Amino acid sequence: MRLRFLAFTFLLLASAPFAEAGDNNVRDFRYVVDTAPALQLSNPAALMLWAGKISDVKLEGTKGNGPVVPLEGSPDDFSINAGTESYFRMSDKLAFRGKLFWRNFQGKDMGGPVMINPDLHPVNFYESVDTTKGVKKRETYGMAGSIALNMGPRWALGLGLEYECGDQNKVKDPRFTNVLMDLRFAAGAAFKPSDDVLLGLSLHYRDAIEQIRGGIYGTTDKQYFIYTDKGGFIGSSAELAGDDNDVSAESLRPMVNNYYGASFQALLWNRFSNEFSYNIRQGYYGKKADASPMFFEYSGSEAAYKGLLQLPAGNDIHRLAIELKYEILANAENIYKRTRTPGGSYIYDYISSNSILDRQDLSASLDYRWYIDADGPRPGATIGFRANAFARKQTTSLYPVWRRHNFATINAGFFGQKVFCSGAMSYIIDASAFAAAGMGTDKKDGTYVAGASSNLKSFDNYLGRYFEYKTKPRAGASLGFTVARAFNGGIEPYITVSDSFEYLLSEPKYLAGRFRNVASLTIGVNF
Amino acid sequence: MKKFLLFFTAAVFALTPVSCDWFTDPDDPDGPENPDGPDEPDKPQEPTVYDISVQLQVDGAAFAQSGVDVELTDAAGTATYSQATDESGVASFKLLAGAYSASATYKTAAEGVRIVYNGANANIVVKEDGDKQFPIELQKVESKQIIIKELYFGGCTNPETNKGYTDDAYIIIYNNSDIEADASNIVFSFVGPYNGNGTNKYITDGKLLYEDLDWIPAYGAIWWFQTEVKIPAYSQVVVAIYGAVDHTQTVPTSVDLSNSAYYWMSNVGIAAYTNKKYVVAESIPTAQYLTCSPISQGNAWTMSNSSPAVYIGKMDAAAAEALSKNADAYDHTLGTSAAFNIAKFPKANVVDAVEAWSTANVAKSAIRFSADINTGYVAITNNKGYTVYRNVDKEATEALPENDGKIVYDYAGGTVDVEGTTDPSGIDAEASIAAGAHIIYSETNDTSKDFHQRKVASIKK
Repeated sequence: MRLRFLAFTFLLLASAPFAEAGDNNVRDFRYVVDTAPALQLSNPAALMLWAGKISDVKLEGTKGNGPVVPLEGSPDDFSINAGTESYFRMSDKLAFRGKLFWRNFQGKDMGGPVMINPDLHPVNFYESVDTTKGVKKRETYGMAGSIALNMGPRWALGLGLEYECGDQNKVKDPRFTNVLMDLRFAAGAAFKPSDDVLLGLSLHYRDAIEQIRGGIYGTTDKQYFIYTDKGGFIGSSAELAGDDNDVSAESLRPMVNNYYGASFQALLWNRFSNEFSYNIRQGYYGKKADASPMFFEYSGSEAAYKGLLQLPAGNDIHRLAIELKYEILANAENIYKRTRTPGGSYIYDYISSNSILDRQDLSASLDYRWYIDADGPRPGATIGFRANAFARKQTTSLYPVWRRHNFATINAGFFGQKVFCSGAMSYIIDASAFAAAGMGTDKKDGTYVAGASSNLKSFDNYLGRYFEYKTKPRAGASLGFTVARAFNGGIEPYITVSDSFEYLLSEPKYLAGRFRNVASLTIGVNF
Repeated sequence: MKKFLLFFTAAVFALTPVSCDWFTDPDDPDGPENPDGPDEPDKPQEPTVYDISVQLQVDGAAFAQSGVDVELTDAAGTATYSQATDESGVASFKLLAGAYSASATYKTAAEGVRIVYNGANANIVVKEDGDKQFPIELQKVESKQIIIKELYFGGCTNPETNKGYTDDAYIIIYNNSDIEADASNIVFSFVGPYNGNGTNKYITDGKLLYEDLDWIPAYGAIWWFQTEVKIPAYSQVVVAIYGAVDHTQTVPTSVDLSNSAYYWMSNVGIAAYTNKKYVVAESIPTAQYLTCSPISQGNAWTMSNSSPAVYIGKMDAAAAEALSKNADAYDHTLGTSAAFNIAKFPKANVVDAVEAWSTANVAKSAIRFSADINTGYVAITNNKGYTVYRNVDKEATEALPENDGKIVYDYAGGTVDVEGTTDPSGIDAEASIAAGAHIIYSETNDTSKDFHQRKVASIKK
């Protein structure tokens, strides 16, 4: 790990473009990116509108405490994130975006889901009991690069590639090894029919693979069982042993998610960006091989809109960002009969593929900011409001049993920032407050036929924690303080300390407490 | 520009009520199709299912018995469907496409003899263009006097080395009747391959070579008693398989097989059986040694410690020895070397059988007994101290007048809490025996109905 970190640091320094000498007017990286509508678009060709150079390098340590976390979270974790991101124009023809990052996470008392991001997948695996929690360590690193090539005053082509990989290990039996790979590719074209209009079209491909394997290193007199959650925390249970069950104790098994899609963009007056996206999703778990069948195959699609509107008013800017997304996902379980040939290999006779999950997700977010005195490197003050809403409607159908699972959540709050300048020094205070709540039905079960019984299990403890985490009313606040100093040559080092806190408004039944606190320290440079 | 702002605001507000209605109204009348009316407003549309019928048969002819429960279990073992037969012996199901196994047991009694009709069909494949009618061939089983009560073979974990210890295997035979039994001619053997998940060359197209023949494999050896053995009513005989010693002296989690009443499968006088597992305590009289004439090559009788298929038969010592030594009659389906020598044990002489599979390898395992001998299996995890123990025949046991007030219920010795199995009768057999009850164990010739995975070897209580 240390070697990786050193290599990463070298790459990070080598990749950061140096600012132009004599430019003392260092702009805040986040502010610049957030207020550049072209940079909100997923089409790499939209970089054609970018001029200048801006970069950020930062190292951030984060300490999280408190049990108000999702199932895959830790009540006591620590992470280090290091990264750099740059936008720069090389010439009249070429503009680049580059990004490198490295993350190291270590969390205590982690059990529950085997997958790193269970909400993404239509099927999940959980440790059968919560007495086997242990430390999980995760390291991820990645890079992203986009390039836009101006083909003339009105045309540009762009290519973008993002690559992330990593691994996670649990260091207590039952152990799990997760190997991540996430590749995103985008290719697009942008056209400016007039100075006020940019139209773009881009194609996107994503290949996200998480491979998992279980293992037992300790005493052999203990048995460990893994739940297969086929949606809404209902499913089957199998021992973690051998190579036949859903989670293998012998070989890595992949959960594959592929997305193919296209986006259309329209940017007007360089102030109002619109992006409509549509993606088809296809995936599977397992692999068709001698010793391993394909257990599940799923497919879906998602449609999204993303908009950003910026209205200048004197020295101020009003900024409104909206995102809407609708996703459907259906999962099917393969039914097969396996026979062994005299040679010892297996033949899988796939009998049918039974539809087991039907999921619809809708999410919406709104973010309004009023940048006051926005004519400097960063606004003198910011006031904002943001709200996120999410809703899921899902039916799991494991004949002879079915389960409905619906919920909707909303999270809304205010935030603000005030900057005090004294010579080259800037002192920045950030504050926010939010409230969140949700509603829905955690489970509604029934059977299709009489005279049938099933030993399917309902993982009520996990369902309870999941549902409570999603829907329990809560409030929270955060406070951050940044000191930055601009130096000649256009370099502005900064240091930020911040803390955020959230608290459940009533006593939880499943979560192990009511609070969550996250403290972080960031050291970085804008240049 | 204001127009755009208005447009955005309007769009957000327009979407909000839609999403609220869509997600939060659990009794949405416009929800999914609802075939069962308002009683179950949330019931999703039923998936595509097929009408399947299962016909009970005896000797290939319809067995017209109504009220017999037929159970269908899907291949993944997650769902069980149970329907009673109609007057013509047919049970009807609605099933998803998939692979299922069906079983049925019908119990009756005639002139004091308990009679069980038992059968299974593990080859039910339901698909759109496949068969919709399937038979279950029932075997008539009259109650036996001597049965296998317990097979302890998986061993335990030695806490000092953290390694599995399986030298402590034993088998218990039991007199399941109220009159003394003569067990002198009871012999022991197992069917190959050793493990339930081993490559089974006896199976072709899902069918065992000896399914319709008059023998089953006798692998390794056939063990016989060397003296007269009488088992009183509702009593047992413990036979140590490798080491008739107090194993707890070296492995505290193991069992004590040094009891002077126990028997031992002895290697004394068997030149080939040089394995160090063969040890005996002085407390075991030599008259209680069993012996054999090894059939297949090996330095011990290599009964599987993960998933054996063991049976007992009735055969006198001379016949067993002759069968063991008759090399000309050996079967070589599993292999041609001497390690795969297998004698053909007559089915007519088989008394009782039990088939165990390894829990971790259930998906890879296949039944080794032909359906006329035994159906089903019990899954067991080895090295945990677990044992394969017989279920109690609740009705028959409760019907014994002398058991009044002596039966102990709320059996907690099974392993359902660790995803295993338990005795569905709920009777704690060992505790009931200790209380003076006479236990009649289940006899259906279906291991999955007759046995469960017990947490502790019964001789440890």
